[in-house]
Amino acid sequence: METIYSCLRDAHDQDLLWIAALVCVTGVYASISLARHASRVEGNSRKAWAAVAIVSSACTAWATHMVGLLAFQPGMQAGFDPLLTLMSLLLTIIGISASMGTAIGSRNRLRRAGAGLLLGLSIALLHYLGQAAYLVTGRVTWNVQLVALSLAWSLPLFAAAMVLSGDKRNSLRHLAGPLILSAIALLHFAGMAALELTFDPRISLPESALPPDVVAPIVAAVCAALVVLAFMGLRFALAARAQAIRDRSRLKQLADLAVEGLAICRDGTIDAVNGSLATLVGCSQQDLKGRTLSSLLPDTPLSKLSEHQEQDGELFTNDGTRVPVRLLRKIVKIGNVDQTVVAIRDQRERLRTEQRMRTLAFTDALTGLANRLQFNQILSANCEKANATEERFALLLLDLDRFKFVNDTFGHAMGDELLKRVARRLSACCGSTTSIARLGGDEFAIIVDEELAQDTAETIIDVLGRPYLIDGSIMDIAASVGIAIGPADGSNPSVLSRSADLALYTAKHAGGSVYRRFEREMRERAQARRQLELDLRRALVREEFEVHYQPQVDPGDGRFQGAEALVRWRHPERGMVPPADFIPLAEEIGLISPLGEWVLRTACEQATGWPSHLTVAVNLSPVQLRDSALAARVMQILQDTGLPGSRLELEITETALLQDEETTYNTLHALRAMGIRISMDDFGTGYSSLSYLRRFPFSKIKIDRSFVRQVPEDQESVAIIQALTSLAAKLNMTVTVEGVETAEQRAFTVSEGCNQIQGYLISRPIESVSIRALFNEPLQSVA
Amino acid sequence: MPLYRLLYRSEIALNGSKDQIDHQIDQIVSASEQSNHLSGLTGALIASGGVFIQALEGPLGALEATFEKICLDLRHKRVNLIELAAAEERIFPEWSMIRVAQGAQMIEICTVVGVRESGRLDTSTTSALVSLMRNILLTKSAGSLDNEVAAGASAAIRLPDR
Ligand SMILES: Cc1cc2nc3c(=O)[nH]c(=O)nc-3n(C[C@H](O)[C@H](O)[C@H](O)COP(=O)(O)O)c2cc1C
Repeated sequence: METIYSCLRDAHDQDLLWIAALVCVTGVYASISLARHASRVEGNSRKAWAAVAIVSSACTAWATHMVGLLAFQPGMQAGFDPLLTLMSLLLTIIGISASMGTAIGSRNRLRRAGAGLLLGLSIALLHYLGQAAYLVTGRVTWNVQLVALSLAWSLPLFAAAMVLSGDKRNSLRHLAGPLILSAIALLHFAGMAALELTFDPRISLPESALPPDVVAPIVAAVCAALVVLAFMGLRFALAARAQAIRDRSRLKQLADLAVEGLAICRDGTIDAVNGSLATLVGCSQQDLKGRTLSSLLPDTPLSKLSEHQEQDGELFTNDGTRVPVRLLRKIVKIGNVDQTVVAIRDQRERLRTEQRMRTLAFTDALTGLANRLQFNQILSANCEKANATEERFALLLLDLDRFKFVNDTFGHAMGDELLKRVARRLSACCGSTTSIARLGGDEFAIIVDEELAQDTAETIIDVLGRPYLIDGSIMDIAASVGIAIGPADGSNPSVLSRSADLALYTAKHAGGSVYRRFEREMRERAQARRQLELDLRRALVREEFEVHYQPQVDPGDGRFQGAEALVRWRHPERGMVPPADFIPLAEEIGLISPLGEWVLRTACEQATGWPSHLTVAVNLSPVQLRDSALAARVMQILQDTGLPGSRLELEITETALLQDEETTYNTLHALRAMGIRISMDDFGTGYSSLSYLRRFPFSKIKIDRSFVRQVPEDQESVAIIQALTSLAAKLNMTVTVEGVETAEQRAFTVSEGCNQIQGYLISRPIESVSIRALFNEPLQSVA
Repeated sequence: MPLYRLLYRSEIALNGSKDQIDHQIDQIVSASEQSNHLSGLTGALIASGGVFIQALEGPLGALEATFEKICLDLRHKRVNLIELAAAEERIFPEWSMIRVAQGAQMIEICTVVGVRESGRLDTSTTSALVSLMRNILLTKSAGSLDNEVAAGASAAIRLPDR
């Protein structure tokens, strides 16, 4: 050490030594920056710049060494062997290339250490060859021990430097440069100190030796070239940095544009975040920098995050709320460094939308109650539970009486408001554990414990029947309730619903505002009804209907005036079915129109076979009367059958007049214009509104049989018949009394001046063949 | 804003001893008083012989909303609207809600109204009924029951037999 130090102090020109150091630093910088540049560019220029970097590094080593030699003051004349000097440079270039070639792209430490040794060797070679090229006028002796020592110390340093330069850790990588510099310095100065020169005038420099004056400019030129290269390197580095900054800001802009939150992390610490994440967390991007990722995602360790599949997590925001998020981790190379990017997507909006869609799908938009879909699920669940535990529950189906009327009269908006209030009242009637649903229209369903069923039904009927005051109108509706008990009345939803439905049907038929529990007979009755319905639908095609006729006579002289046509159904198995059993059903299932038309046509046809002064009376149902095409149809039938309109009488009941007065009015007048007479049937049983008699063109009133039954004993009945007869006379109408069964009754009608009678006293309804025979008898009367 | 008045009858559906029921009715009245005060309604409530009769008057919107709440109430049954009609002036301007004290007249009114459990009464009958309610309130507060006033009014509302 002592020798090295004294050699440095005494044997060197201090200024030149500084220059050597400067050249070394400049050259190293040039080499490194050019090498970096090479790594940034691509293709051929990459190779070219790599070569330049290698040559420049070799030149650096060489020039440093040469300046060092020039700085050496051996105290005698010195010169340089040109060949060896050149060789030292070339060998260094080759050595460094080989070393770099070995090291590049490899992280293998052994290999890098090998490359380091190679580098050390080539620099050592440069050194000792260079020294061998240094000629003096004296004797040269080597301190072999020092040479060996210099190699033994510097070579491991080179190896270590190469290994470090390939390390992942920045701090260690930065150690590589100084290490190489110190290795070079060690090699150089130890080498110089190992050299002992003894002046010997007998030894002269060979001819070929180049004096320092010649070598110095060459070295200076190389140094100048290195400076130029260093500048180029600097420019490249600056340009690259500017580019990197541009890239980064563009990347940042892009990241900030992203809807997802992005966090770039290193070792679990946040390096940078985009705007979205900062907004999501509720602070600035700057605030998030340096925080740990686990402070945002405490439940999701970074290592648990998948690189391929999104997973759910919870983000803790600054105000303490937990935001449901989807998370994805990606390792991304940013610059040259691998970094972890965590993508964080806010799920609140999506979850809200999903929730809204679920709500929409499962609730009735108008009332907010459960809808049919949800109710079916609830009912299924209840059925399953009931089957498993034998725990019974009640299904209540309810239906509003008169709702349709309100809806039609007051409009849909009012109907909707009413439904909303009904829903609210239902909720008030039932406990919070009860499930209430609107199945559609004015149908609701409720599930309650079995023991509460009847009370609940009663309460519902009471509460829903209370008046509704809406915008100054009073609305009265009522509810009918059908109750079925699961699993007794049905162990699956469809059977149970069907049972409740049958109970509801029965409740409605009982007049409404009542509840009914399901009973087995209901099923049988419904079955029978369904069968009858099927039979009825087929009956028209199978020609099972017949028209029977009940003659009408003048009570005074007993002469025939005509007959009332009455429909009969001859069922193939049951025989004659009474009209009361099938006419309401035909009305309900929409069969009354075709049936009525068939009766009309048949009656007209058969009446043409009667003496021409006799009339035929046919009943019209309310449904037929509501049809605005009725008049045209009747006209067609008259034409087809050839019956004059004056021989046809159409009987209508008061209830038929209640609906749609306008159409009815027009139809009746059109019929009247064809000469057809219109009679008011069953007068005295319904509203018996006298205004109808005035408004519509009736030519006849038929007094209901119930009044005649009690004449002449019952004073009230007598009075009514008397009043009606005189009223009819004043209104220019005739009067027919139905249901005359006794001679006394007939006498009474005669005395009261009734125009026509009909009843068992004369004849019960008989088949068409019989009536024809009766009418064609020569006597023509029943006296 | 036009004034409306409604009158309804219902059956008391409260459980407990006589005193307990009385207490619950007082609670209904005091709660109604507060809520009616806010919505600009006035009126009076009779609770007698197992029957409530209530008169409520005020703007239509508030009247309808409160009546709907009353219809949601399970503390009475068979709510029967006797009348809803426009009114010239308030008959109970000084009371948001007040309980008409029990008395022979009240029971009589109840039975008279009870004659027609369903269906609405005509306006003259109901105004007589409401005036009677007021008279009883006033006489009560004056300290003595003016029998003649009450009898006269109750005669006025006696319905013709059907
Ligand atoms: C007979 C009877 C009369 C009532 N009268 C009124 C009334 O005049 N005003 C009122 O606000 N509530 C009245 N209520 C109470 C309502 O039914 C209901 O309980 C109350 O308005 C609830 O108010 P809230 O929903 O604002 O708490 C009455 C209740 C009963 C049983």
